[in-house]
Amino acid sequence: MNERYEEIERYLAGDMPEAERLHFAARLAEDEALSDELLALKMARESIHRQSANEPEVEELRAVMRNARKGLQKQRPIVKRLWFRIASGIAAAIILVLVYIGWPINGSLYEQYAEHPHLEMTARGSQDNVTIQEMEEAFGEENYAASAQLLETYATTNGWNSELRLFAGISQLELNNLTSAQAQFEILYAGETANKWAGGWYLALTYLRKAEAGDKAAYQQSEEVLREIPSGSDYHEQAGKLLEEIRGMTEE
Amino acid sequence: MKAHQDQAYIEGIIARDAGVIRDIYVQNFESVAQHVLRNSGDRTDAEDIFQEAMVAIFQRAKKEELLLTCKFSTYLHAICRNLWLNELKKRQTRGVTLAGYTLYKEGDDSRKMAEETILQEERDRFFREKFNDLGESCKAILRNSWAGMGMKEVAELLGISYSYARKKKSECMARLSALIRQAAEFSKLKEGL
Repeated sequence: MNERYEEIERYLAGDMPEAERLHFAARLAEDEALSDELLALKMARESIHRQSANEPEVEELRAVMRNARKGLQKQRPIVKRLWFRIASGIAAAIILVLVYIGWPINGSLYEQYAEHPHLEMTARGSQDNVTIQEMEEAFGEENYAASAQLLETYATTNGWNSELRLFAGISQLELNNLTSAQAQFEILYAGETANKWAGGWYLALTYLRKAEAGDKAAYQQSEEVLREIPSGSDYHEQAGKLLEEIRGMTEE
Repeated sequence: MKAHQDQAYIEGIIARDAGVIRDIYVQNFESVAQHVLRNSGDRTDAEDIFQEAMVAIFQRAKKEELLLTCKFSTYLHAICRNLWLNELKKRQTRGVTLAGYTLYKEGDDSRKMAEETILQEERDRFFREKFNDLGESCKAILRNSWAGMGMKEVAELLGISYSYARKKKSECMARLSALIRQAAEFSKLKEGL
């Protein structure tokens, strides 16, 4: 089976010598099943590669559209705005009363579950101490733009490891750079390092954040990852709780 | 063929230009919303449809040169109407009626352009859904490898051996190929070539 797909991949990537390519093309003309497989994978390869490459720009476009919508809402007629202010005032008063009497108020699920571990790294050499301290301080002070930058620079010099990847991903997640965050967590989740399930948990939180930003299909993706987190993992219990909350919310 | 003067809107979407996108919202959103409200939807549906239409235009313009040959608003409204019709079809089992639904209001240019854009959006969604049915390791292997990364780098990135990464990649391709070929949409895609 391997050979068949390796051949297809080399053909699609243009990595076949001319004689082999012609031979493969002749086989395609005679073998409908092979031809169908090639067609399916060719179209998927093009579409997925293009969509992945465009994803950061699409997210940026969505953010610009969200702002444009907010701008439109601000421009609504003054009578409506007045009613909105009155209604907002009443709602705020109700919330204050509920908070005062201790009523549980649900906001963003992401905000409820995004409690991050402390960044405490081990220096590899004495010259690393200052950078590591800066990274730890930036992350601890929730200055995620700085921690993302410092982690990236450190990893470029010293090489990536799963710990750097986890905290770089969390920094990107907090900065709402969801594509970059997702890429880091996918690598952790697909790998076999000590941070595999931390990667899974944060991948689920990234999908959750996407869902709360309007991509409703991402709720299901979040659930799928949460279900995979095994009972021996540190993240199993909170994964179970979050799974129930998402289910309860999406079934409403 | 000469581009319509509204081509600037397409360029603005590609550049994610906040001013152009705000203008597009100001000039078009309310009429799209009214259409959705008149046809069994609410304002949230209208916002989703409007956003998906804009993303579909962006994706198409990034794939190939998108030369506008009609008014931008006509093109955008045709896509929104088409997307909303697809959504209504999905909801039909929940009692939504399609009687009296008008898909196109104006000339053939907008109709053809809108249909091509919708077709690409549907194809992309189909492949995205099948790809998302794969496991996370398959997605990471294929996405990185198709982005041009060598298998040694992919293996290193995922913390797995080179030989396992190659074997796994073949398995992932086999799984994805089967998911696509087993779907009814694959025959339609073949016919459309």
